[in-house]
Amino acid sequence: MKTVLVVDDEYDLLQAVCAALEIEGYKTLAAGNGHAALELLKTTRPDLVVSDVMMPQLSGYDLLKAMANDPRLRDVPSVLMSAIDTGGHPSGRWNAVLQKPFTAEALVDLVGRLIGEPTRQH
Amino acid sequence: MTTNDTRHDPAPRFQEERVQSGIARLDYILKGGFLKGGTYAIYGPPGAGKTILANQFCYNNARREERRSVYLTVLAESHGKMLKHLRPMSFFDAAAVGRQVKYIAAYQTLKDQGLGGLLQLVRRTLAAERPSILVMDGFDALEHLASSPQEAREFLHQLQASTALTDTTTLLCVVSHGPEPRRGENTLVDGVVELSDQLIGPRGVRELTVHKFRGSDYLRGRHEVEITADGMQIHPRTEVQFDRPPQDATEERVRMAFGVPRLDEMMEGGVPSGSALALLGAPGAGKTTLGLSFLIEGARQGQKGVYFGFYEPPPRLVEKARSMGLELEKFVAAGMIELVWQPPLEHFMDSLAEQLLEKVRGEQAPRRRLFIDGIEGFRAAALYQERMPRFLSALTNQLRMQDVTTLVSEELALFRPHIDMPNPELANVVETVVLLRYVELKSQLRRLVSVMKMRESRHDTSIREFRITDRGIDVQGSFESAEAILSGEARLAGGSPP
Repeated sequence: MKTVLVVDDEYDLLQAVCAALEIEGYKTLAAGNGHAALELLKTTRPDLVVSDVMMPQLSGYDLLKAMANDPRLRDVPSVLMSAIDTGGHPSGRWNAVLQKPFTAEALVDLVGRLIGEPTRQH
Repeated sequence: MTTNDTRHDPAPRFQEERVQSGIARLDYILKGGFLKGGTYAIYGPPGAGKTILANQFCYNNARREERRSVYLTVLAESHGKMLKHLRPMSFFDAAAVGRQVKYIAAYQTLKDQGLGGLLQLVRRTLAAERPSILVMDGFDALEHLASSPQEAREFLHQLQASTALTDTTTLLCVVSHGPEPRRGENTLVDGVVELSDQLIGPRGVRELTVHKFRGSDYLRGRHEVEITADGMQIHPRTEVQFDRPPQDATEERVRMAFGVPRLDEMMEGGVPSGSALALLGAPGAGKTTLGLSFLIEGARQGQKGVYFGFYEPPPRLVEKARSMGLELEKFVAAGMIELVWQPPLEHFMDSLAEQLLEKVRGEQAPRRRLFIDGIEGFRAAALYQERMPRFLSALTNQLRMQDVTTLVSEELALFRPHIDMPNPELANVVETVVLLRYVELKSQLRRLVSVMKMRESRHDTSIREFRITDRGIDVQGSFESAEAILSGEARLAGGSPP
């Protein structure tokens, strides 16, 4: 089963994004901030990381930078969820930016393009 | 729903996408409709129209969009009963049930699995149906079943996050019994609409009030609501509406004659176009006759006119005109004069104004004439009498904007020595006041006419006698032999009467 780590300090959006992906058949891991995400990443290697940008203490940029410095996580694809215009981001190693507000359809479509259809458990 | 673009304010720099409700004039009050993806609480006591409003929204959407609506009930009316009650409504479409409008009963899920289970059900439904509209009817039941108010608030927060992801506009129908909703959830939702149902005197009155609407301006205050076979219709307060003049409106004023030579002379040729005139007089003094003469003279000159009255149905009016030699029938048949009669029923003041203004807006011919026969008809329809001054001011202003020359008659008391205007504000909002009076002289009743006020225009201030004959109205020479005419206490000052 394909696993997506979702990181957002906005609890309701975090839950809603996880629910939208789970309904499609992905397994999700939820982290409420960048540090919690790094803790989870110590023990697991998800197929995709979907992270908010503006979070306290550790931003989405910093989280992805930390992943890029870890050989085990370097190749994990990533998506930034951000209210900042697409052109307003610094350069970095992410695969796509999902401009907020986005729809579940856009999210699921992007995740599908990056890691393929979920492998459902029977 | 209004289609007249002259009523809208200039478009703001950025506009969020709207979902029109299709409910008559609700979108006008909301300045374009609900915001797409927003969550709105619809409060009201049982019978105020919440379910009708929500269903009407769903079925109108089904006609417009390919995306569905989901109507989720939580301890509300059973679906069978609800559909039975909706069936006679013109917006209802039986073929849409289960297809474009899907009903889901969620109470059992809520009871068995709590708010978490209900949230899962909503999320699964949103994912499967991708609805553009979600209604949760009976939201108050959910609040009662929550373990704490905090749990209900968290549910609402998470629900909104999910509906925002699917761009689903959500209505939460909540039963409330208080006079005004001041609930904790109001801070969480994007808008709060209250529907009320109360007795004002002997009348049952439904009203709609928007208490909050994030991200947009809206028409504040109470607006009258009618529920008819066409569903819900809302009548925004006339005094909070504003019309821009039509693009082709002309600033050039001309005189609009009555076709009564001496009266037209007294007014330097007639009423200035695009202005309003109050025609005051006791019953039978000749107000209707003079008003009809005004419309007929306009029709002779190729100007269209509307009679908007409360007392005399069109056939009687035509017959009355015929007996006085007025060619009303001919011009009605030619489509130059339209007779609009309001039967003696309970009316809503704003609904009347709306009918009148929509008629005027629909007909863009220049130099139109309007005769409102009996401003009392509006007063009788007013739920709140204190609104009258601003209402009349707004109504006459809207008519001016449409380049309509308006005559408004007002009935004064019969055989009273002093002029006692029931609507004193009327004289303030019109440019011209014409008074028709009776006077007893030598055991005979005479009719007198005088121009009491004519703003920014010269006029003849003399008092003249006029007669209604079988050839119409005939204004005589100056009535100089009576004193204190305007006080109603005419006495002979000597000599013979004219």
